[in-house]
Amino acid sequence: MYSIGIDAGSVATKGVIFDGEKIEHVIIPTGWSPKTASEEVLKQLLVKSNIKKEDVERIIGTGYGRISMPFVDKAITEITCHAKGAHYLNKKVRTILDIGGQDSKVINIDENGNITDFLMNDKCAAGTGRFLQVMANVLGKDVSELDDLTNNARPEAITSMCTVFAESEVISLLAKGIPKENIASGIMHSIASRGVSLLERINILDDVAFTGGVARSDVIGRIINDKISKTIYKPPNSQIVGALGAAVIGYRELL
Amino acid sequence: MADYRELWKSLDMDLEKHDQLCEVLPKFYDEIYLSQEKRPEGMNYFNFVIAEVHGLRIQELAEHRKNGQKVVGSFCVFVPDEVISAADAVGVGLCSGSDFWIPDGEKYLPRNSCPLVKAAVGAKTSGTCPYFQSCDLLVGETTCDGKKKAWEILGEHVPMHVMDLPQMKREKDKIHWMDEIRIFIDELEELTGNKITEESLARGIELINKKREVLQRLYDLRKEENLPISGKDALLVTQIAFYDNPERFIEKTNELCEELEKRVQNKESVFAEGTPRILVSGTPMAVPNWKLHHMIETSGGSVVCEETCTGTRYFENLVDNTGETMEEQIKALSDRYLNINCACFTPNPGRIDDILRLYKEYKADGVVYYTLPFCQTYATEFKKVKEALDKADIPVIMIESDYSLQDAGQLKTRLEAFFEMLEPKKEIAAANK
Amino acid sequence: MKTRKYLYILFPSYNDGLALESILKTKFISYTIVPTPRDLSKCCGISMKVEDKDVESIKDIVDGNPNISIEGIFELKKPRKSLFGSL
Repeated sequence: MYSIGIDAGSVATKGVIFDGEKIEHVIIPTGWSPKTASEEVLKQLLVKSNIKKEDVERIIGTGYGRISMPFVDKAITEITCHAKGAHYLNKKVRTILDIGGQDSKVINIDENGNITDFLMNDKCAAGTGRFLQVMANVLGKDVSELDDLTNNARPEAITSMCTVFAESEVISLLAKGIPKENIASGIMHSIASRGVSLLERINILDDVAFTGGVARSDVIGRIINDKISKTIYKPPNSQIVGALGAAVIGYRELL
Repeated sequence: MADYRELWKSLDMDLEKHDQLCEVLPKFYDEIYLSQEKRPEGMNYFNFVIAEVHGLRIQELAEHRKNGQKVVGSFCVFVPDEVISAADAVGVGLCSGSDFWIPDGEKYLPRNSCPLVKAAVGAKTSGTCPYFQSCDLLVGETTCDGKKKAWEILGEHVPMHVMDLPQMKREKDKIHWMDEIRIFIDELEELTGNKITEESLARGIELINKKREVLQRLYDLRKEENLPISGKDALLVTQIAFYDNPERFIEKTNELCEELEKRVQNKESVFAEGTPRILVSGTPMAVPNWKLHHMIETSGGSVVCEETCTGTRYFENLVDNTGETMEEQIKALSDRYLNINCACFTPNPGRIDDILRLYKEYKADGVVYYTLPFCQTYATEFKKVKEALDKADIPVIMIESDYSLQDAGQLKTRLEAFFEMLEPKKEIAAANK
Repeated sequence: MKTRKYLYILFPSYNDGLALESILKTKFISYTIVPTPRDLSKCCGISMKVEDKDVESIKDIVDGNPNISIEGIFELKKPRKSLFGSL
């Protein structure tokens, strides 16, 4: 018995196939069409796990692209899916901080993985993956290289929260000759502070899971850990938690 | 088709710009209202009022004015309609719920003002709202700083009377508010040339109480397990109460209620079984601000009640009609109006009591706390409300949104997630029954 | 998917619409009073949305009541884009 969860985010589309214990996953860029991307993810998942589409009994769509997946049995919001995914991976998790490509959210869950409260950031790129991407561009680096670049350097404060203003700020810091390491470190601190301030608007409960594309950065995870005195759980693959949650929900509906 | 262009021209309107406004409404109304399944037939009257919103009602106002009556516009549930009616003037609630007026409002006000205030100023200054153009007097009140300063600007365009609403509820505030009602009476007597008497005020109190009663009758039907009417239709009825001819409104709303009572007997519902029931609490929704209700009801929820100025704050509690002297009547008016729990008061524990009570009365499953951007009082009061709701184990979500539709996608995700969050709670509650 | 076709009756004045409404009510013919779609007329005001199947009987009613005048019955086919985006 198989179920599939597909999470079409603004940057990446993630898919997970689940049989009750084993999971296989696929991550591809969303590009301009969440519909095409989610169809591609479905195709790749079936190939990767060597399973026929007929054997998949349930497909759940989530993420902002959930409304553009004609082949799913059901669409569920990424908030519920993240809750279920994080709870499946670690039963001790009670608060989830998810920072994705264009939004961030905090979710509180109970011992059964049911949501008790949640908050989403406003329609703004500040404190999301988009912020990181724009800053990496200015530094002439790829997002994935930022962790290495910081290299424990002293953070140069980035005072602007707005992505557009922060971009000009970073440009002028570079012009002043501030080393890239310090700027990169400042960028990581800035995004971590935004995450922490979102967390602080909810009643933070132990353990805290840190998920989403931005959680791939160990540096940001460490800074958040320093700022809140809670146990931080980082899933082995922080990007697929929503898709996993969708697959788990689908699987449970089959039982 | 009836041609109202001459009428609009006589009101000194910007016809070309007004035409752009007229362009949007039918489409908007069609998508939000006419797409609903199982709508009560009685809503045809309210469709009619909306279709004729800038037509028939404006013509009626023009006829009143031709007969020497005055038209008095107001913005807030604290302005006593009874007094306007007693002076044989015609009261109209001015709607400021459209994005269309924001750019014109921003010519006069800071961009970080609330959309309601910006739209009100824009509606007047752009000359595209025939209601504003029909008013002989506008009545403002001091419920927030944004409005207070906006009245000064509006006052340059149209005669303006401002009622000084106290912001606390001590004895001296009640005395103060009675005084404000007296001043309002004088102002209207001067405007209309009509003396307000015990008899005319008693008639005004009776009429407006009747309007409140019919709205309460409608809202009582929303307490039913099987909802005979959608939240957005009920909201529309309340919004229309602000500017329609009151006698006709009472008659037509009673007819609607009769139809809805039959539906209740037959256990007919406009929503599928198990649809989460939502209490909306927060800032007013002026015509045509139907956004939140539409988003809720197309994301898997139903709105059962509004703890807002375009909801229970408008009609709950009647004015005591036993007063015989003018002083007793004024005292009764003051008592009723100062009993409204607006976030402009400090402290404001009554509002939390109202929310907890309405949540039970309307058998709600969750609360959507709605605030317009830059509404300091309601946004700040959320903290206290949330604490009280958390304590009572009542789920609540805060939605801050203006009149534009750009945040529709994100709102839908939040609302859907909120309804998904309510599901397990509902299941547990059902299992415990 | 809804496949019913809707037609709109336009009137010279709202009084004609209300007069027709009162007759349709007694004959249990379903109708909805709506703001006139802009694609049909530039004037604001009411029109009546009725179902295809009832059009002939409505025409008979109008013909039999000289005090009710209409401007015509129009069909609107244009698919509309949602103002809320693709929700």
